Order: sequence, then C-alpha cells, then structure tokens
Amino acid sequence: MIGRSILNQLRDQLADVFLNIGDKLIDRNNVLITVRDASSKKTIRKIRAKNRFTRHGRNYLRNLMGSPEHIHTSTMTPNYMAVGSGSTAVTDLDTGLVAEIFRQIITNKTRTDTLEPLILFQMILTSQQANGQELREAAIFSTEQLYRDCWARVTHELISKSSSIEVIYDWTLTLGIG
Amino acid sequence: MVVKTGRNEFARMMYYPSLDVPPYKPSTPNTFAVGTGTTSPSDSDTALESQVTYRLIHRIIPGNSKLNFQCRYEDGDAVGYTLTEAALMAGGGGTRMFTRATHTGITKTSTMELIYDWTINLESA
Repeated sequence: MIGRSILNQLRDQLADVFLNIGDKLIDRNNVLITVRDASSKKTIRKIRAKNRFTRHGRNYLRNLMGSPEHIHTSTMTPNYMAVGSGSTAVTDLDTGLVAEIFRQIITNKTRTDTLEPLILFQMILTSQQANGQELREAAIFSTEQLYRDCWARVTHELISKSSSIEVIYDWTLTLGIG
Repeated sequence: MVVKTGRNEFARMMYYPSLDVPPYKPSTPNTFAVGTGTTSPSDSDTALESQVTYRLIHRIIPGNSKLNFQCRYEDGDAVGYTLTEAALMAGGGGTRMFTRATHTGITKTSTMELIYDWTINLESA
C-alpha cells in the first residue's frame, strides 16, 4: 500500500507549475558583558563579544516556526544561561560549553521591534555565584540539562570571578534579512 | 523577503514564557496567499499588494537550519488571474504576513495545478 505522503509527493511532481522561492533569515547576535563592583555597582570593565547562534539553535528556531505547539512549551525556548571556563573557539556544531561551571535561569527578557526585531536576554551573576572561577565562555540553553538545547555560545576575555564583583551578560539576538 | 512583521513574530516565538501581552500567542505561517501585485517587496510590507486568494499550507518540511513550506493551488483556484506575488501568512485569510515575494507572471487556468515551494534558510551572521 502506498502511503498518502508518497502519493502527495508524486502528485506534486506532476504539477503543471512548480515555483521555488528562497528566503534568508539571519540571526545577528552580540554579547555585552559588564563587570561591576558588587557594593558600589560601579562598572569596572565592559567586554563585547561576538557569539554564534549554533546550528542546533537555528534548528530549534526552525522547530518553533514550523510547529505552533512548541511555542508554548518553555523547554523549547531559550530560558537558561550558563558560564564556563573553556576557551575553545565557538563552532557551528557546539552543543554546550566546553567546561561549564554555573547555570541559571535567564534573569530578564526584553523584546523590541522599533528598529530591527530583537530580543535581549540578560543574566546577572551575583557576588555569591561562581566565585573563584575563571570565566571564559557563556551559552544560552532551553533547559537545565547539560550538552543539550544549546542555542548560542560565546567565548570572551578572562574574568576572574570573586565575591567583590558582579557580572552582567546582555545577550542580544537580532533577526535580520539577508 | 522575510518582512519585519514576520521577523517580529519569529522573535516572539523565542521570547516565551515572557510573552509581553499575555495571553498573546505568536502565530506560525499556516496560509499561503497569492496576488497580482508587481511592486517589489519591502521590509515594511504587511499584506500582498493585490491579494487574489489564499490556501492552507499543505506541507511543512524541516531541513537542517531551514524550513520548507509548500502550497498547492488546484485546477479551479485563481482561474483567469496572472499571479505575480505570493506570501506566507498566518490566520484565516492571512492577517499577519511573514514573507512576500514577487515573481514572473503565471496565468492560472482551469487545467493547471500550481505548487509554491518556499524555503526559509536560517543563517548566523
């Protein structure tokens, strides 16, 4: 018995006119990392880094675009940010951090459509978190599970985390056209 | 072209569960509209220039970092029109536009089936 999908494909191949249209949706991303004094809140250092929206991340977005039921499942959207000590350059095939140290739920999410559609994900690493660690990488995830659901990853200048500083990760995702 | 309204909607999809206007539900493309407009797409387009009709998307095929939408116009659809534009929309009748394209004219007859095959490639800049 020939399945319905095969019959549909055969039918499409027999269509009189088959019109192909291609579009591009470009993810442009940047990360601003602010190191500030924990007590005075004064900025000590600002680091700008270019992250990569990984192939896995693009496929997660693809799943949302094609399957409405996924949109209202929080495990399918970016919800966690993690930091680590790995310095290996980011690749399109990354599925997680090289050496993850700490992960927590994204502190703030902001969205704007005034100029280009963009979303800002923010995570604040407080004076109590990840102390004594050397931070060199960060990534965005859907869930708490390691090495799964990695949307984007970035490597950055060394930050030696101590109780005297806080680190703010501002992750901007912009959707543009080709 | 993935127009601004479409990109906004795609961005909203990643924003859950902090959707800004609860219980706002982002839409996904589910209809495919065709028309006779010839003006080139622009980022601010929100509708076809001259919509003739629309049909439900009949197949969505996921690929690696891409998504393919297909829509079939049957023998009896849009007969007599020279179709020059198309769009991926959401909602009955197409109330929210994601993408728009213009193309060479196709004069639709009652003996012709027409398949639109639309691929959105996701890239990282």
